[in-house]
Amino acid sequence: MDQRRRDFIRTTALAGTGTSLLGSTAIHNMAGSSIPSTRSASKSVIIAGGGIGGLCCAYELMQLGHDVIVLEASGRHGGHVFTGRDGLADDLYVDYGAEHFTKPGYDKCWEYIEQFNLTALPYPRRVNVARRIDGKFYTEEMLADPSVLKKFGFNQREVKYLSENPWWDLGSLYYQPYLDKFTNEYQPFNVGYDDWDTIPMADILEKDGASSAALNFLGGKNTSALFTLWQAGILNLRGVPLSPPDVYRIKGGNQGLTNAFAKRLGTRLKLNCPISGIRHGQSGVTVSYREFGEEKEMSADYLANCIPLPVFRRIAVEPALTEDKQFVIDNLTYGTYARVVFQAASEFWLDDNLSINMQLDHPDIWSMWRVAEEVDTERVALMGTGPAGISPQRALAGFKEVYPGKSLTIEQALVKDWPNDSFAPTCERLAFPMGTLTKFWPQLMQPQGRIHFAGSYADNLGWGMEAATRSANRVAKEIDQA
Amino acid sequence: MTIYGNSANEHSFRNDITNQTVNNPPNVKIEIPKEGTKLKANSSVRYRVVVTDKEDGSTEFGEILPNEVVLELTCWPSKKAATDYKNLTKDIAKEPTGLTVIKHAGCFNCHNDKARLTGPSFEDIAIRYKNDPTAIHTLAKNVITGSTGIWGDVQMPSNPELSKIEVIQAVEYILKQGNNQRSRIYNGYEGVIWPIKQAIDDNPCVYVLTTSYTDKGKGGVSGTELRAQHSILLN
Repeated sequence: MDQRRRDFIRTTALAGTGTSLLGSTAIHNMAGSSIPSTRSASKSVIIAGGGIGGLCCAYELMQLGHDVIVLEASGRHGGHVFTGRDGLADDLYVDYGAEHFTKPGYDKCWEYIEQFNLTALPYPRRVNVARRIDGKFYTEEMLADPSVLKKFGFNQREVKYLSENPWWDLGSLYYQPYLDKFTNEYQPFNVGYDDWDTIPMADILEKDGASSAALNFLGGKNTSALFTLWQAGILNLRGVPLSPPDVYRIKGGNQGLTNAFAKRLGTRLKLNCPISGIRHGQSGVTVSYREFGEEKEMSADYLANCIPLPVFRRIAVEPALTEDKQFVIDNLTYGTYARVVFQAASEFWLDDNLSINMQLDHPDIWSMWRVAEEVDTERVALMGTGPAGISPQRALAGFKEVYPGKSLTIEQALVKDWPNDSFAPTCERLAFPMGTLTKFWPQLMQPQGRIHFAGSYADNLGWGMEAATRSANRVAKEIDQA
Repeated sequence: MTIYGNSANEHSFRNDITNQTVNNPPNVKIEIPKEGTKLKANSSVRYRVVVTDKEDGSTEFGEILPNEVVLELTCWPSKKAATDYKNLTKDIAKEPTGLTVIKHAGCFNCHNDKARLTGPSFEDIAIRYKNDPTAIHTLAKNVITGSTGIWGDVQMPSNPELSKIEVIQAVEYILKQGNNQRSRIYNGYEGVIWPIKQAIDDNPCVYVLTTSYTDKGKGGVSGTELRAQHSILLN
């Protein structure tokens, strides 16, 4: 047992003298009196969940001199940051989960990429995108052509905007006039739109003259107008476009980032240790978990919960969290999808004079692009997204149905069906429905006693790896300063 | 208690299914909570179910998948009513067909009975379609072909591999269960249960927690499945 581990146990033993904290090995082994938690003292922290949020939070706390243990339920760390090579030929690889980071945007991620000396490769999946609309493919040039735009039913103002700006930026035409009011990216309220939480964004668009084509493209019938505008306001404050076209990935797979955190954490990261219960009090937190099939307990000064909320719901927390916090845990919804992977014998789309960056508008496969092009092989790995539960064969059939060329050389299809993942069944949080920002936001990042909350959902903008690392840094700071 | 008192699990679970001549009944047990545990308002209680089946394997070794294990929590105004319900349901040989479809089609990955996941809860669906006489057919169609925009911008995937009859049975189950305010369905062999809101007004309130497992039958042949269940009373 190394020194740090011993320190951790001693601290947990001392913290575990509260009456509600019983039975951990550490407590049985050691007797102690209470310790005051002061700003300068080293704290013991259990990090629940070893996804990118948990790993980053543990790493930051460790850097600040605290004793950390990460309990990860599955047999691998990284959660949704998951690079896969199994079953692919020629050392090809894919990212089954988090696929990219952008520039600008993802500032925190970029800091770590630099710090850990990882290689970021340009990932041109958002340039030259061919979009299938009403059964026909359109290039970016076509979608900037006023005569094409008119046929879709866009009004004059929208046609002008889209002929001068990228297709994905249509929202800005309507959002921009409202964004100056947002001056603090963590404050959506009291800027003049509080009542708009209960109004669908589609109503605002309609009021402002959006055509039915624009309404169809921008959606928003089920989304809080205040939420939509605030999210756009955050990007505006950060100087980030709605859908940044400059996209990057880590050479060798994005798991390089989570691996780098995990390597630095060493034995502080415990895998295959699912948590089943949390007891918390004024002096500390005790976690029940299973290790090598055996029920165990561990106590610490604080708990950083980095488990996505739908999985956290399955853990018993005693005493119960406040009703307002529990509402967020029970009601915040996440998207969940399948990652579709194709392996092809060649760059077949070049023979058809097409771009492989495609939006497919097919119910069984929504998009397609290429990854791992630096691998020295003629073969290619393609990635796409499809609905939960899709089979590889059905996704491939969908692609074949709509692919507008003749030269397909796809040898193999694979699927990672995230909703089937026991401990990481969800992807990013979804847009907030009407009336929920007022309930979610004040509670979303709030700690409950000694339990703090990080993860991609627990930040203002829920963009995967960036929100996970930002919230992890916030929690590390909160605990450090507690 | 279990219907089938099979504890003979000394043999290997890994029988050759195709040559199977008998089907042994499964064993199911709610390990925690203990009988009589109190469900306090706004607090969750841990549960763990253990299933062993000579042919299918066990939950301990992951041979039985979490989604195959279902629990029902019901609340009753008296201990007598709860005990009556427990006794009434103890010999049910077959779970509702709709529930079987739901378990096997992976619906629980995105839908819960009363809690919102990525998709709407059974309760949300039952409320929305309460006065719609064509609900069953509309919903069956949405399940088979997929849908989007009804509950938000997330796409409900298509399920073309399911037959219309199976889907109708699933939908009927969803509407009935979604409407039942005194019952909660949980799935997975580990998790937490919550007191039923409606029940908090009942004084006294007695719960029945029931878990069941239906095995895969003799050589996977339909109609030969055996079911076991275990029920306990909670306060």
